[in-house]
Amino acid sequence: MVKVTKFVSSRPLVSLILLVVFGTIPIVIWCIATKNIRNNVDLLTEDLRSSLVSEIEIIGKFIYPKTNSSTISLARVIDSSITNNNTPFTEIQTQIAPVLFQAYSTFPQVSQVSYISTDGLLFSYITGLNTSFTVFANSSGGDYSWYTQTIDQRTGLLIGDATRSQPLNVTNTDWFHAAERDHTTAFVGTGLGGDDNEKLFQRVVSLDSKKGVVSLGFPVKYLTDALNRLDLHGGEICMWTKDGTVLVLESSQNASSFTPRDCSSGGVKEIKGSKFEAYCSVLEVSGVPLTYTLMSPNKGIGTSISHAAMYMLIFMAFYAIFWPLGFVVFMARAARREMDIRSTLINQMEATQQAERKSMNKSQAFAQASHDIRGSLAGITGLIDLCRQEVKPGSDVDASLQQMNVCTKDLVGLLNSVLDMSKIESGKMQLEEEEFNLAKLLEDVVDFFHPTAMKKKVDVVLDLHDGSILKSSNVRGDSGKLKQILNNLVSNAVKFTVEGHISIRAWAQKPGPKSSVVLASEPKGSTVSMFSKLMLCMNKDQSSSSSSSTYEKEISNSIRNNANTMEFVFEVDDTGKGIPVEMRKSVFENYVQVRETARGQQGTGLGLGIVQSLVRLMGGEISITDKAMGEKGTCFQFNVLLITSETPPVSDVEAGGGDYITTPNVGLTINTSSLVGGGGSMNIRQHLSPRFNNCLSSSPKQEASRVVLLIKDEERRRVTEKSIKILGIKVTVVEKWEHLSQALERLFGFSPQSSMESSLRNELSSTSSRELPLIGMDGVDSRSQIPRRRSASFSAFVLLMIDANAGPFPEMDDIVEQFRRGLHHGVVCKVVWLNEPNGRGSERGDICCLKPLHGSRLNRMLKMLPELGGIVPKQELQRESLLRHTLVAAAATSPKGTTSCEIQEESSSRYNKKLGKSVRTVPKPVGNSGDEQGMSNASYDALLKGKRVMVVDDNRITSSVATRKLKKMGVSDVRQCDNGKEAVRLVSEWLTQQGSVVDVLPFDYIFMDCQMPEMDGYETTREIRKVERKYGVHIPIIAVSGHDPGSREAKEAIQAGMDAFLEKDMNQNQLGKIIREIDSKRTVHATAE
Amino acid sequence: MELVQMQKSLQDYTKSLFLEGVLDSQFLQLQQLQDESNPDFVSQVVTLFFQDSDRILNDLSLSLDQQVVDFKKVDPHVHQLKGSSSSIGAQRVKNACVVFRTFCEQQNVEGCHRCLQQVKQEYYLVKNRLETLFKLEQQIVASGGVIPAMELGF
Repeated sequence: MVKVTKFVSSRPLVSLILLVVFGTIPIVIWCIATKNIRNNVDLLTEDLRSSLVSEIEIIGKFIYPKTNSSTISLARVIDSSITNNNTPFTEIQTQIAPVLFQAYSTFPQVSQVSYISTDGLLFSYITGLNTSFTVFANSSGGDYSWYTQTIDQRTGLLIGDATRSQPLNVTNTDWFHAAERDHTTAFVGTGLGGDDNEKLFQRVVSLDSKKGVVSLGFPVKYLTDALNRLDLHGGEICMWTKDGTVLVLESSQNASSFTPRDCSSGGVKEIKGSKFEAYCSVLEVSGVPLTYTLMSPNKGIGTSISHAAMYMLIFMAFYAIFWPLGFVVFMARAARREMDIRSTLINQMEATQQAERKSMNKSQAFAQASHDIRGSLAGITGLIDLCRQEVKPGSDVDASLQQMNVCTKDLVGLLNSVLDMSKIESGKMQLEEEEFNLAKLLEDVVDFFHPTAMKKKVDVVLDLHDGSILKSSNVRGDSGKLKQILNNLVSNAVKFTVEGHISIRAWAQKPGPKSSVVLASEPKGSTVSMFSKLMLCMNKDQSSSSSSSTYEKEISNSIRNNANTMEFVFEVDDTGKGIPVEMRKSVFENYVQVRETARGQQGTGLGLGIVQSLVRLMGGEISITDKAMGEKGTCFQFNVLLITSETPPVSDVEAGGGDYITTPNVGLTINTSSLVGGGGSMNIRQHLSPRFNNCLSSSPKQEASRVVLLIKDEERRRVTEKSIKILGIKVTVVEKWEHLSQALERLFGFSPQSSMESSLRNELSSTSSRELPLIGMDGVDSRSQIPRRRSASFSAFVLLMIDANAGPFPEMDDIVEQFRRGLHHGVVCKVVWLNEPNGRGSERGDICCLKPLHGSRLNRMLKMLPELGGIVPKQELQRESLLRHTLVAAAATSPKGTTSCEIQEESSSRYNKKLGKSVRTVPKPVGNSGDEQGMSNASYDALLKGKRVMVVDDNRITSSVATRKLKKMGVSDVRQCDNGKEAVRLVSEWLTQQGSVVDVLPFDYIFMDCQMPEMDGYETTREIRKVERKYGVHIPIIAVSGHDPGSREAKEAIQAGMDAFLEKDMNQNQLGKIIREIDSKRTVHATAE
Repeated sequence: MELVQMQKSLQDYTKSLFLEGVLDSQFLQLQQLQDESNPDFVSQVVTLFFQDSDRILNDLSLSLDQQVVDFKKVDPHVHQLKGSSSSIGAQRVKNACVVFRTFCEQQNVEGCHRCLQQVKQEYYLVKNRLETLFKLEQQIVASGGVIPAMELGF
C-alpha cells in the first residue's frame, strides 16, 4: 500500500495519466447515458403533448360538428317560408317562429336560435337557467323595443307576460353585416338576451332573399367542460378568440403574461425560462377560429436531468480527483511523519552510541589512568622501601617513611577499588579460575581482621554452621575476588561495629531454583527482548547494563550447568549501627554512603557496589537480611556458585574400615560410624534388634572424650561449641571462670579405677569395637545415665580449652593444675590456652593457641582427641602427671602418618630443637596445609624420580638453583640450557636421532623461562611444538616466570603451547600439582589412543 | 676461637642479614638444597651470582653512560639481575631492580642512573655480607665444626 502510494506520489505524470484514463471512461459513459435518458424524456414529453393536442383537436372538431350546415339549412327553410318582401312582425311570429322553435328543440346543445330581419325585427329562442324564453323585437310603430317572454318548452308558445328589455342595435353589428355580405359567418359572443349573457358560439347565415339572418348559438361552456376534463399532466391550457376574449384558462398563471397573438401557427415556444413549454395552435370550433396555448412543464424535466447529471458528474469528478489527492496527501503526511520519527530515532541512536562510546572511553581512560597511577605508586613504594633500608630503624624518618608506606598502600587500595569499578563498568572484569580451599580462605579473612577487631574489643567469629563447607571446601573459582568480597564486607563490619561481635557464617548447598530467582530480578530487558528492542533508544544506560548483566548471566549459567556446582552462602553479621531500611537498596549503588553512619569514616562508597558486581559476576546475589527485632547491626548475605573439585580418595581409606568421613583439607578423619548427629546415633540403637542392642550395651563402651570450653565471648562460645559438637564430641561449656573448678569437679570428680581396668581388658578381647559417642548428651546430667565405664582403647581424654583472658590467669592456672593432679590414671588431660599473640603463656608446657579459635586451628586442637585420630602415646599414659605433649609429636604420630620425610617440617623442628625453643607457638606447617604438603611431598619422589628434565633459562643462577631443586626432588638428569635456540636444537637433535618411531622422549619435562633474550620462552615453545609434531610426540613444557599464575603472561604461555605455569620460586606443592595434572592428562591421552 | 662461639656468631650474623632484609627466605631454601652430595652448592651459586652481577653492572654502567640510552638493552640486563638476585634471595637488590625497571619503562635516564647507584650499593652490600658469611662458615668448617642450619620463617 505504502509502496503504491509512494510510486504514485513520486510520479505526478503517471498519476495524471491514470486520472485521465480512468476519469474519461465513466464520464463518457455517463454522458451517453444522460443523453439517452434526455432523448427518451423529450420523446415522451413530445408524445404526451401531441396526444394532448390531438385530443384537444378532436374535442374542437366534434363538439359542434355540423353547426354550419344546420344553420344554412335552417336559413333555407326560413327563407322559403317568407313570401313577401316586407314581413311584418306578426308574420314572423306566425310563420317563422315555429320553424325556429323546431330548430331550437331538434338541434342538440343549441342554446339560442334566432331570426333577425334587416329591418331590425327579431325573434329568438334562448335557453336560460332551467327555462327557455324568447326575445323578440317589435318594431311596429315608431318605437323599437325588445321583449322577453318565457315559452312553453314543448309547444314553444309564448306564455306569461312579455317584459320589456333593453334593445340592441342588432342590425348594425359587425357580424350582421358580415353575414349579409358573406352569406355566413361565425363568432363568439354573448347571447341576445337573458340575464346571464352567456358566451356562445354563434353561427349566422343570411337568408338568400336578403331579408334577414338566422343565427344559432351554442354555449361555450360545453367546450370548456370538455377541455377541463382532459388530463394535462401538470400542464396548462389557455384558449382565446381572435379578438382576445379568453375562453378557457386552466392555469395558475396570469393569462396576460402570454403573448397569444404571436402564436398563430402550431409551434413550440419556450416561455418563461425553462419551466414551461408552450404549444400554440388554432382550433376551429364551429367555424370560429380559437387560438390555444398548451403549456407543459416537460421541458424542465429534460434540463433538470441533464443538470443533475452534470452536477453529479462534476461531483464525481471532484470526488475522483480529490479522494486520491487527499489520500496521497494523507499518505505523504504519514510518510513525512514516519521520516521524522525515523530521523529522530537515528539521531537518538547516534546519541546513544556516542554516549556509550564516551562512557566506554571514559572508563578505559579511567582504567588507563588508574593503571598509570598504580605504576607510579609502585615506584614510590619501592623507593620508600629503599629509603627505609637507608635510615636507622626507629628514627623519626623511619617512622615517617613507614607512615608514607601506609599511605601509599591506602592509595593503592583506593585505586584498586576505583580500577575494579571501571573494570566492571567496561565489562573487562573476568573471573580467574583456580583451585582453592574455601575453608582456608574464610579462615584467612577472619584471621586478618581479628587483630584489628580485637583492638576495638570486637570479636570476629567464624561460624561454619553445619560444616558443609568443610565437606566441599576444595573449589574452583576466583579466590581473589571472593576474598575481596569477604574482606570488603568484614572490614565494613569491623569499621562500624563498636561493641559486640561480628560473625561470619558460611554453608554450602545444592544450587536450587531459589538462586535462579536472583537472575530474574535483573533488568527485564534481557527476558523480554522485543520490549527491550523497542526501548533501546529510550534508555541507553539500561541497555548497557543489560548487556553487562547478560554477560554475568552467561557466566552464572555456565557455572550453574556444571554438575559439581555448589552454592555457597555467606553471611557477615555484625552488631554495629546497622543500615536503615530505606537505605538498604541504595547502599549497593556506587558512590553511596549512609551518611549518618559513615560520619567519621572515610571511603569512596565504592565498596559495596564492587561487592555486588563481583557477587553477580560469580552468579550470586547479595542482600541485607532482616534481623530479628531488637537485634542490632546489619547482616549481609550473599551466595556464590563455585565448582567443587572432586577430592581424590586419600590414601588413608582403609579396606574394611567403617564409614569414614574424610575432609582432607582440614586434615580431619573422624572414624565414628555414626556421625550423623545425636539423634542419628540414638536412632540406630533403637532400630536394632533388642538382642543386638543388649549386646551393644553390654560390650565395653568407648568413653567419649570431652572438651571443656571456657570462652568469654558468648557468640564465639556458642559457635565453637556447635562446631565441636558437629564432629561428635561432647562439650561442656563453662560460662565464667569462677564456675570452672565446680564444673570440672562435677564432671571428673569420680572415676572408679577398677571399672576402668576391667573395661580395658574387655576392650582388648573385643574385636568389634564400636565407638558410639553420645552426642548431644553433654553436661553433667548425661553422666548419670550412661554406665560408668571407662573406655579401654584410649583413656578418657579431657581437653580443656580456656580463654586466657576469661579471668585472672594465675587463678585459672591453679584450678587447672589442681584438676590435673586430682585426675585418675587413664584420664589424659590436655589444656589449651587461648591467647592473644603476645599474651602470657603457661609455664607448664600447656598448649597455647592464638586467639581466633576456629577452622584449622580448632581442628588442630581437636585432632589431639582420640576420636579424631590423636593417639596418646604410651609413655604419656604411663606418666600422666607429665602431660607435656607437643603438637608436633601429635601430628607426627597421627594415623595419617607423615611417614615420608618432609624437609621443611623436619628441618624446622630440628632447628627449633637446636635453638632450644619449646614449641610454644604452633608451627605453621602443621595442620591441614602441613598434611597436604606431607602428602604431596610423598608423591614428589615418585613423580619425579628418575626423570630427565631440561631447564631452559638464560640466568645461570636461577637455572642452577632450579636444577638443584629438581635434583633434590629426585630428578635423575637435569640438562641446563641457557637459551631458546639451544633448547630447540637439543630437542630436534634427539628426535632426529630416534628416527621415525620415538619411544623415549628426550626429556620428561622442560622447564622454560619465559623472558629470555634472542628467543623467548613462548617462541621456543612454539618451535619445539613444531618440531614435535613431525614425530607425534608431546614433551610437557612448564613455563617458569616471575608473574602470577593468573596474569596475562601465564595465559600467553598456555596459548604458546606450554602445558602449565609455575612461579619462579618453584614452590614444591605447586610443582607437584602441575606434574600430577600433566601426568593425568597424558594417561588420558594414552588410554584414548 | 671457640667452635660454639663461632657457630653462635654465624647464627647471629645470618639472623642479622635477614633482619636487615639483605637476604630473604630464598637464601634459606638455597641452604636447604645443599647437602652431602653437593656440599658447596650455596657458595657455587653465590659465586656465579657475583660473576654475573659484576658483568651486568658493568654493562649497565656502560649503556647508561651512552649519549642516547638504549633502554631496550638496559631492561634485559636489569631483568636478569633481578632474576638472579631473587634466586639467591638478595632481597634488597631485587627490590632496587624492581624500581629500576619502572624507571626503565618510563625511559627516565635520571632515575635510571640513581637506581643503578642504588643497585650497585645494594649489590656491594650483599656481596660483602655474603663473603663474610662464607668466611665464617669456612672457619667453622676448618675448625671441624658443623654449620648450623638456619631457622625457617620470620
